[in-house]
Amino acid sequence: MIYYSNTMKIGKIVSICWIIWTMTYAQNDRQAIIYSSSDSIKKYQRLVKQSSGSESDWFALQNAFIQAGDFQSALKIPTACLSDRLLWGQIRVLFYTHQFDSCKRYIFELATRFAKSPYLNDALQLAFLLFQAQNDTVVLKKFADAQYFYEINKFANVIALLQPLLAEQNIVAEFGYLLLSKVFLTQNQSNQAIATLQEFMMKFPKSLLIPKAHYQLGIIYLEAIRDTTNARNVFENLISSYPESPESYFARAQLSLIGSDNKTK
Amino acid sequence: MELYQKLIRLRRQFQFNEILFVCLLLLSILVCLLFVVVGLFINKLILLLLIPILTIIIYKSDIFISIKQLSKKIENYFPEIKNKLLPVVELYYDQLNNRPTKEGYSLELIEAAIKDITEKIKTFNLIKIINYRKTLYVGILTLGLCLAFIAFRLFQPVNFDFGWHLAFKSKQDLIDIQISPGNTYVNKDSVIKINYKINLPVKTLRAKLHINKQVFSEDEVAIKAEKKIEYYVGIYSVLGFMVYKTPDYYIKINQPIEITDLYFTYHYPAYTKLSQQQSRSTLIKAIKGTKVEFHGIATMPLTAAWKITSADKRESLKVRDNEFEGSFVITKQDSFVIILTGENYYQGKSPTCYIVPTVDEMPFVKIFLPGRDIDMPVSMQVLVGIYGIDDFGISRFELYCRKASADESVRIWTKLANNRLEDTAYFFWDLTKLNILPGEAVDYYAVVYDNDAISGNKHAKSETYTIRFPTLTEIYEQASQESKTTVERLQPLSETQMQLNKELQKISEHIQKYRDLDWEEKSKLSSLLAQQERIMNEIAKLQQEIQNTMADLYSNLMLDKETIDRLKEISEILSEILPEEIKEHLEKLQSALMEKNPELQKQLENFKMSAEEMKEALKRALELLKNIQQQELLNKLARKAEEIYKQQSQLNSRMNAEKLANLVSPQEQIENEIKDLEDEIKNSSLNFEDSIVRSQLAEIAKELNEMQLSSQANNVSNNLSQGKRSEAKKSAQHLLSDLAKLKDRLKDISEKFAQNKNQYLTTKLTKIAIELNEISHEQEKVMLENQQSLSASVLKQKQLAEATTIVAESLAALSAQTLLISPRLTKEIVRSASLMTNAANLLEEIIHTKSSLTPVKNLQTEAIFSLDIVTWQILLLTVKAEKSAGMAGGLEGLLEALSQLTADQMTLGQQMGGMIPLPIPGGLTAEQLAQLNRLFSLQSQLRQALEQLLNEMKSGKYGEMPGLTGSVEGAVEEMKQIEKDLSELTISRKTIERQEQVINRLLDAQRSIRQKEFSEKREREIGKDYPPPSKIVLDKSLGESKKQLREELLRALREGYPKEYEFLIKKYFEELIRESKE
Repeated sequence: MIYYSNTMKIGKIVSICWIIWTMTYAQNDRQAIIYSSSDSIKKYQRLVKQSSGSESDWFALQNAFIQAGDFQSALKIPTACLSDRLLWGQIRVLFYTHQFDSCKRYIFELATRFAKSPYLNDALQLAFLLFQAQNDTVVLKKFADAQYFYEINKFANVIALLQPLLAEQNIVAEFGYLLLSKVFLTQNQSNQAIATLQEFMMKFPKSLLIPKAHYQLGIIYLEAIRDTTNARNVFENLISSYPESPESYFARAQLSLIGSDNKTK
Repeated sequence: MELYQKLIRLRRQFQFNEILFVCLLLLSILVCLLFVVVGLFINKLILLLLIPILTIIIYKSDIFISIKQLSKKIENYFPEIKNKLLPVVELYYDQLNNRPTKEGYSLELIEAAIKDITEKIKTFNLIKIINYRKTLYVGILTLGLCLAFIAFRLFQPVNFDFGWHLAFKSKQDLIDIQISPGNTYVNKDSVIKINYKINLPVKTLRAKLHINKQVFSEDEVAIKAEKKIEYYVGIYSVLGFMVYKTPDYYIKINQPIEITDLYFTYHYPAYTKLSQQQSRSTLIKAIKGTKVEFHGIATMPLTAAWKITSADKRESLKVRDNEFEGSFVITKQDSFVIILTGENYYQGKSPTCYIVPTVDEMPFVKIFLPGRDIDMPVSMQVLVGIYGIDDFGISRFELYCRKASADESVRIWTKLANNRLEDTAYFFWDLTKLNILPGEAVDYYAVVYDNDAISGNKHAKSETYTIRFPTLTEIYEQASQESKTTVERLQPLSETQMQLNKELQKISEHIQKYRDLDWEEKSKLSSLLAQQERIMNEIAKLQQEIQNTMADLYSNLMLDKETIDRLKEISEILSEILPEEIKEHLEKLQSALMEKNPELQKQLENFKMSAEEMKEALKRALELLKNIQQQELLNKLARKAEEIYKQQSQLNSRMNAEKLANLVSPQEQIENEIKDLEDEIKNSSLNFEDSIVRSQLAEIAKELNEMQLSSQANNVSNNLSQGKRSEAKKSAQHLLSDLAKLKDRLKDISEKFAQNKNQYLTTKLTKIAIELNEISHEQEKVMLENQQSLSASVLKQKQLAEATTIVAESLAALSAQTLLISPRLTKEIVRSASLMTNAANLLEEIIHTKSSLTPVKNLQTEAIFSLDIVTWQILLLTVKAEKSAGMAGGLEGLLEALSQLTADQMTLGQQMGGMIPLPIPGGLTAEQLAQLNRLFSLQSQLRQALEQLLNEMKSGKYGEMPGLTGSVEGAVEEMKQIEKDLSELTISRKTIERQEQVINRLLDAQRSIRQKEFSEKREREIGKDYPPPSKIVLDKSLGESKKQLREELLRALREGYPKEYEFLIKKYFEELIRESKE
């Protein structure tokens, strides 16, 4: 879940950056933005100086730093213009740099200072992982690295890091499976993604994430492969096996939609 | 050279002549003066004139003439050598001293000059310069005077002898004189004749009578005695000088002898540490053993003085002139007078002096900890705090105890108090050593001794308190009593609330239908409201009672942690029953009902909602209490089994040495306990709610049937009563091993039940958090979907709302099982579900109206916010639940650690107390050294543990602790000092005092934490009405008030009031005590 929504968040971030950029500075500097990390960092640093440090400039700069892997710089945000998304950026950086205790503190700050932030549910998901896996820091560190590579689209690295993790029998491994399926899905390797989820369901039948895995599986069948039969089967299976889970209700909605689509056809 | 020798010889002759002259001159003057003294009866002091005369004569004579002066005299006598001899003499002196001459004459020239003058002098008769003639004349004069003096003796021997004796010998008996009446006392205004008879040896002498500075020539004078008369007789020479005076005589007026001053100096006994005091009061009040010195001054010189006591015992006093003194030691009540005899033999008497020995007050002692009869705590250790006070100091504390079965009290502890006026002592009493059996009790009291070294140490005894070892059934019944009582009292309230809600519903329906209420409905509503108020008051009362019990427990230091935890839990449950706004809604509805307010319907609806909430809260409270009872039941079984095992184990160890007959009764007691336990296990195996536990208990019940524990116990009893020691031991051992198995099983079940409950809770909470997070993300996706798929969004939104409702229900169910989950969280999720439903409905409208999606998005954002905030809360709860299942954290953990440290420190102190004073002469034995080493290492460990605790406190692990760290820091410092003392092998009184300081500081810290914890709890409970506290009824017990007054008296006495007030203070308090008796 966390990977899925992170992709969404990154999409949001990039689009917001682009809008800010085009609105504020397009008339002054219409040069094409070169997405090589160092160039974009220099560019944003200049912009931060020119605009005397507005929140949006810092946000763009922070993302550039994260992309470039300069985590130290990504953490240096003036307190005056600290927003929820900048704080979320810092939380991610702290996670990627394995500062898990600080990461928890920052999540707490996000929850108390920006209770209505759209980033809070992502942060809470991360917090859940941190609290659950707090005694397993070695594995968690590897997972954090994998998560970072996923964010910067280095999928081969993600797979390499996750493979040894999946052999474990812990919550991080459970999350690892879900992340791996996400990676395969992003790379349009739907069957691989399905196989990963199925392996997860077999390996962790009592996991609390099983309904979620079921639902994801159904969604892959439905949206990536467009195999409504299998999707229906999966959703029906989910509803019968976990009738009290929220995913079963999402599945009900999906089944209704599949039904109405079929009728339309 | 020759000249010089000549001059020397001449000078010698010159000086001889001068000395002779001076001596003769002085002798002649002396003889003259003696003539004056002896012949004219002039005072011999006139002879002192010789001294200045001698000085002048010597000064004027040439006794110490030098060569140069002599040379000058020669030059003057012989003009031929004028101005020649003296220069030559000077030149000679220069030459002799190797000094160059001033004029720079050559040696030859000098020698020539000397030679020249030497030659010239040879021709002169130098002796001529000596005046022998004057010496001759003076010699003749002196001789004449001496002859005249001798002639005076020869021809006037009487006069000479009288003058000589008068001047140089004793005057006693020189003159035969009789003076009458001499020194005497006469009555005032009486006429008295003063006369004298004298026989003068020299006719020229005259006698005169001097009376009070008046001079009478008569030999008898009559005078009126109006005042003191002083008189003497003077003898006058012919020249009118007084040459002799008789001693002074007086005639005094007779008057009674009186004491002009009498003061007492009090020297208090050393143990009182009071400084000496002076008083002029004849009421002599001081404590026994005080030495009183008295000193008096009378109006006339005294010849004797006595102190006569009431028992007519005489004691002679020291007398000096008109002063007298004596001393005595206060031993008993008495009185005395002082009888004085004056020189006129009149007697005088002092006022009666009363000796009132004041009482060294009895010390006072009270046991303030626990300060009441208590049941034996689970730890079987009791901290006894003793407070003692005395007017002069306490020497020691003692603690005695007596088992019900014993005849006499046994001293179990002694502590020296170093003569402090007021002191507090703590004793950590380990009751396990007393081998008390359930149902037995031990009485204990404290005794304090004062430091009265004179009359012996007086002691006072505190009230006797009892520590009762309740039977197992009592212990566990009592432990679960609170929850049981609460359930029993809540159950009917819950039912009443349900009934009340039903009635409210009916009235609500009526008002909705008819828009108004008739008189009957109104009076019914009014009665319902009164009923609601009663329920609320009952709950508040129940809560207050729990609070009071907790406050009572908090005021004690040794409390049972489990009981406290349970009470806390019950208190929290009760605090969540009353909805915050119910009181407000009730009041508003009441006033609307009275004033015929048009808003009656609205107020009724509001109140109905609150009442509904309360009904749910009551249900939840009962559920929670049932859960507690379940856990309590399992704990009770486990602990009971453990206690039986311990008792049996103790009994087994006694079987080796004790008389078997003595063990029969305890064994029977155990048998009964086993039977009770078996019954309870059987009952629980049928009624326990949790099926797993129920089956486990059933299994145990089955095993118990096979084990036949009660029969085994009976068998042991039989063996014991028949005196079969080896059989008894064997069967008892078998029974013990079976009991061990039973206790382990029950403990395991109890612990697992608690663990499973926690684990279940954590898993459930985690699941709910994940689900809520999932819904939040799904909601976000739905929110981002574009306008083309609105109908799909509606569907999804509805399903989301349903999913949220399901999660809310599972959270509500969970909140009935634990206090961790507040009903507010469920409310928040329900709110989120409601927002989602609204959003779905709005979306449906938008599909038709094509209006803006903004209101929908607002609702969706708000729903996400609610979900996220609850997720966050649950996440925190999960962490908390995990922590609480693990090690003891928070203030309780800190308290436990501090309590343990205090207990250890006390034990250490008691051991250390037995070793003072150190060093001891002759050095330490190896055993003592080993013990000291052990104490040192123990103290070091304790200090390190406390330092670690301090660091944790400073790091904020236990929250903000203002002022508390200071107390602990002080204790650490004192501990370091004790370590130093131990390492230097010096354990003194100071070390023990430090030891006490440490304990006091640790106890202070514990008290602060308990107060903090309790006050925090109280602070959280706001906005609720409690019934007014019941009127305080003062204890009218006579004994108690007497004790209090006694304590106050001792306290007042040590305030340092002046001594003279002490009597009044005591009197005042005695009066109060007497009044209290009446």
